Amino acid sequence: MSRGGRYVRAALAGMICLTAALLPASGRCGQAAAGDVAWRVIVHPLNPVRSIARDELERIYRGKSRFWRDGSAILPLNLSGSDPLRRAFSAQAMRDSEENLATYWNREYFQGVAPPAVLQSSKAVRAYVAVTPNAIGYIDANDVDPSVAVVEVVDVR
Amino acid sequence: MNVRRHRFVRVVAFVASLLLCFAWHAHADYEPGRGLPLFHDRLTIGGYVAVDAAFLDDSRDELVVDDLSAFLTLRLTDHWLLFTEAELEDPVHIESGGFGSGDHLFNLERLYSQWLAGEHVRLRIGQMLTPFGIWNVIHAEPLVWTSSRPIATAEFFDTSVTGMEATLFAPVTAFDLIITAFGQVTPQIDDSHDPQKARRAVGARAEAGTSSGVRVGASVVHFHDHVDHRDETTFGVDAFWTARLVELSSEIAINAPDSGHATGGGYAQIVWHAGLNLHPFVRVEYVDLRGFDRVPVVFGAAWKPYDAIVFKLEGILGGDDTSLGGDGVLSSFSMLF
Repeated sequence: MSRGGRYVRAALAGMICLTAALLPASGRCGQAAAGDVAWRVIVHPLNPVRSIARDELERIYRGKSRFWRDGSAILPLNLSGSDPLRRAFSAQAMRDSEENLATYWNREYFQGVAPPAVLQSSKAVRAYVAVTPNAIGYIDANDVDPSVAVVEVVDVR
Repeated sequence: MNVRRHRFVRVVAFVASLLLCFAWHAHADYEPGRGLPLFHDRLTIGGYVAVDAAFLDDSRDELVVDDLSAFLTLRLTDHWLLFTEAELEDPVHIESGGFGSGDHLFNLERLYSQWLAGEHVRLRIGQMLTPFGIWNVIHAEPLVWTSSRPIATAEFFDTSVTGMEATLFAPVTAFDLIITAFGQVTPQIDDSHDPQKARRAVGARAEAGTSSGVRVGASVVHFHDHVDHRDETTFGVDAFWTARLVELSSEIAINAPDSGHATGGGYAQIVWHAGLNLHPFVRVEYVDLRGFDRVPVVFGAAWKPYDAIVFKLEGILGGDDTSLGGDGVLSSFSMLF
């Protein structure tokens, strides 16, 4: 292939890049309206934690805080990426978009760090937390029942 | 050649049957790009594949299965895990002269034991990626925006270290401070593919970052270069900032041998999260390689239809006589399992 031909291809790539740059950003997926869904953080009733700083909750869900005060491993639970509740949780508790979090976890996964386990529904998270003392999850506020304990999230900033 | 190909087929068949066996026992927790969790998440099998098409001045036009990589994470306890990454590098390539496979098919990229001593200290022993800069520890194709790797992220230090690494995680009010020290006293475990220049090395990295997406870091590694028979020190600084629409990153590395001239280089890259899962990027590099310098520019776009899948198309200008492979066009498909 001629050198000129390669430059033509490179220029073509540049035009694609420029076209993409001119597209409106409104097509970016994942910016769900954060206020539409009310979530509550829950733990097992035997877990003494009843309030948690938002920063600390974020650290748990980013895999940076790994152990409860008693030394047991924290088991954070997530919903699937398409779940509106997860999008609301990510926007409000994590203050990040699903896309940025996916990039973050892709890179952590490459280092052998496991992301929070994913369950398929709010009720599944409640059922799991109800029988797992070291788990923490978030569920639809309407799904809270006495099988789990609600943790108040405090924004200390 | 035939012997190697038969061995390759046997390895692939073995791995495939092993994966099928594990998949049979797996519970339905598989999430694309997060690996297959087994035995109550004690074992995770994952990996990635990267297929590149290159039309570059300094090499033949080719279509290459560049990496077929597998990660195995075995969590023995809540504190202790074993991690390995093994890859088939260049198992298939098609070029104008026909098709074949690379000279070094099997490559043990990483193999280490990790111990979490509480919340703030992590120890690793084995063969690891050198904790130097941003790119080196996330270099896999599905994790980075460009198919080509910035020259300065691989040219001035060994990309892996075999020895011990200790990392301190210290949350400080508004940011996290991460300090890593590492040392090497032995040859690498697998040096058949990408032999290290260092037999003995010691280094450190400090990084401060916020969860909102700002990070700055500084790295240093001092090693004895057993190829050039001299001691060398490489210094590096890096910065990373990401927001909803833009990601900026930059690294600089300078290698200073105890005799001879210092060399170095760096890059600055901007990625725009433009919408429609499209991420246009521009990267400007500078590299000073013994006797000549280059200023390659890499531009193009990555398209991520799903979190675990990336298509890339990029043009390279000014990459002649560098590890970028010359001027031309690169495109790739990569996927995390």
